[in-house]
Amino acid sequence: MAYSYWTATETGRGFITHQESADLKPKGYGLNIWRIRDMGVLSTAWVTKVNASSISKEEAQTLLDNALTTSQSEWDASPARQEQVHRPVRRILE
Amino acid sequence: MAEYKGIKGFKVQSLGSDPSIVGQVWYNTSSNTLKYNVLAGAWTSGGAANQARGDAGSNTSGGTQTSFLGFGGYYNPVGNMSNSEEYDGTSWTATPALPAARAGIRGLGTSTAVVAVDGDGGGYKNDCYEYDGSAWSSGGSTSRYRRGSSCAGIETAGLVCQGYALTGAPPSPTAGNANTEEYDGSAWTAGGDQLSHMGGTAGTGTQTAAINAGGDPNIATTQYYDGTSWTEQADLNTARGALAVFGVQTSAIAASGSGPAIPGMTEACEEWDGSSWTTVTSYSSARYGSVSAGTTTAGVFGFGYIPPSPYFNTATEEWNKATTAKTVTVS
Repeated sequence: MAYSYWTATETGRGFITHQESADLKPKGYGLNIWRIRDMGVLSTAWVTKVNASSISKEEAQTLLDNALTTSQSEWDASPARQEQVHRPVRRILE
Repeated sequence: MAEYKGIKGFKVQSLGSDPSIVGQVWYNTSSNTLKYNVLAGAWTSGGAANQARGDAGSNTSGGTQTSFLGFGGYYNPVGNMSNSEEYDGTSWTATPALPAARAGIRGLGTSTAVVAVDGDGGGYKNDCYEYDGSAWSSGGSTSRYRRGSSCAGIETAGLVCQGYALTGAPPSPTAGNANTEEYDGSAWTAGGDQLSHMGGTAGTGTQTAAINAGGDPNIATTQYYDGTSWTEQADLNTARGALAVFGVQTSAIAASGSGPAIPGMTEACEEWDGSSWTTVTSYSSARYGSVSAGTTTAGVFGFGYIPPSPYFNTATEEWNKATTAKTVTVS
């Protein structure tokens, strides 16, 4: 099954409906990056509805990696954060 | 005498739009696809929270998709928080703050009779607070100082178990504790010890029929409590900690969490039927340290950590079982 990557701002109710969740298997990675299953007109309808912008998998990975560097630096410098959360690790897009 | 329809069946209808009857098969003339309806669970976007945070508390065991309280938690750069919010099935509304800022606090009860217990407030605490729908007041203190415990039950018949009992960075799983304490609305008393010492578990149910699952690091264990003792049940398919579990002892959903390897995250969701966990539609945005409530047909899930950025988020998702159209494919 083919997937595609998009950037779209999560707007709350209506952003992903029950039927879209079942059809597109959306997966969010933060930074407004979403992966959806390519389902022809169903995918196109969601992209249009949420005004999503196409992004390549490599571009999405770069955005996440850049954010990771910042996030890890913040974690390393913050004992308070170290007590609360795990040190963030790289997420590898599938 | 057999009828023709009974032998040959009915013709598949050609329809311009999808019908809503479970079990129906039709040909959609708009998409030119053969489709059928099933009753399936899936996650949908809900109203955004007012304040992003992770490791907050909630009244998981008594909350519903339309009446659910989230309180405390951690947000950088604020630190430990006292903010509380209530979800009504559409949006979050700020409610009176906890008497003290707490991360890793946990809770139980209905939204007009909430018990919030323990947590980290500059050191591990054993405080207990009660919320009556309009204000917080002090309740009886637990015997253990801990954070990240699991709760079940209602205000007059509550339960707290497990959690981290010692400080550390990162929190050590060996610091988990097995103590169970029961609440009668005024005081906590010792219950039956759990079978293992863990933090990062999640639970729901009642004081005499509770379920507890997962845990750090990468634990798949499920346990039942009957009001006296804990018993081992079938493991989760995806081991994880800092997950969310909502529902009742014999019918529950386990969602997201940190795993299968810490500090990674999983969006995997599983449904418990009283004997085994079955993988169901994944949560959209994998996260850990979230809050949840509801049932296997109508649940809610919010807050939590989604590293690397934004580390803290406001997104809420609702779990519903509803008529879902499926397309027949050749693959």
